[in-house]
Amino acid sequence: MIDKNSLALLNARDKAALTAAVNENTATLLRVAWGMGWVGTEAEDIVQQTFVTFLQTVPNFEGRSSLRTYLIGILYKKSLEKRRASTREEAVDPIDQVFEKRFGIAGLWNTFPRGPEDEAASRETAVIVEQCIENLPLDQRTAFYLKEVEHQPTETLCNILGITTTHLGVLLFRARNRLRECVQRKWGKNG
Amino acid sequence: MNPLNCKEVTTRMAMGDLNQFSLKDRMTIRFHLAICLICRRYERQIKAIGSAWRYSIGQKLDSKDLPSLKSRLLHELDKF
Repeated sequence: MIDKNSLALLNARDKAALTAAVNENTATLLRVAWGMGWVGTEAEDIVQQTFVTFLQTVPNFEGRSSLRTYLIGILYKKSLEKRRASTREEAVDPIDQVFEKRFGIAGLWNTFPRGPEDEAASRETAVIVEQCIENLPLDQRTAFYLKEVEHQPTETLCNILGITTTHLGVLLFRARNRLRECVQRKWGKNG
Repeated sequence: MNPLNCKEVTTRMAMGDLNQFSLKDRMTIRFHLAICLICRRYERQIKAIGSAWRYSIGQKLDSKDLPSLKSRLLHELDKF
């Protein structure tokens, strides 16, 4: 939540309020931009555009979410525009069939999921994960990133992505399966 | 209490926040994870993927000159 007074200061372009907003949110926005797949100066550009759009739309912001959540929401919308990606989730996603095949009758696993399990071995896993995230659509990628990397709560995720909890569940389900299947494939090749 | 199978547990775990389920469902899921090595392994792999991603983003952030980016941003925002 952000109070009306701080919003009024930002709307009036108060130097101290603006400096505080930039200081407190730049690192997060940059991380999320990288998480969404923007690289190099693209990431910095989109963070800048996020702040600019924020300033232009401050009067519309009702302060119901935190400033950070609101800014990440703008960043996500900008990214969707740039990628010209559809926000509409396909009813049929091939990853769902892959998931189905992992189970036999009675819904028990018919294969043993292989892959990294050690959170301490991140350096080794990072190379593989970086390759695999490129296969994710932007909405699945952003949902998984905000959940598993930034540890944002469900309510914040729905707010940022502009979707219901049910839809978020579908995105996370597909992102998890797509990433895990890819990491397992590459993990097998490396060791 | 009806037991959930692996497929049902894995699907529910993906919903993100287990708090949205009833207490009974949460207990059933926890019970299943306590006895099922494969589902536990699946969840550990998801966490390992998240932490590997966090590691690479953290590396990038460490090598970034944030103060100069912030002052550049403030300079640009002055125009709006």
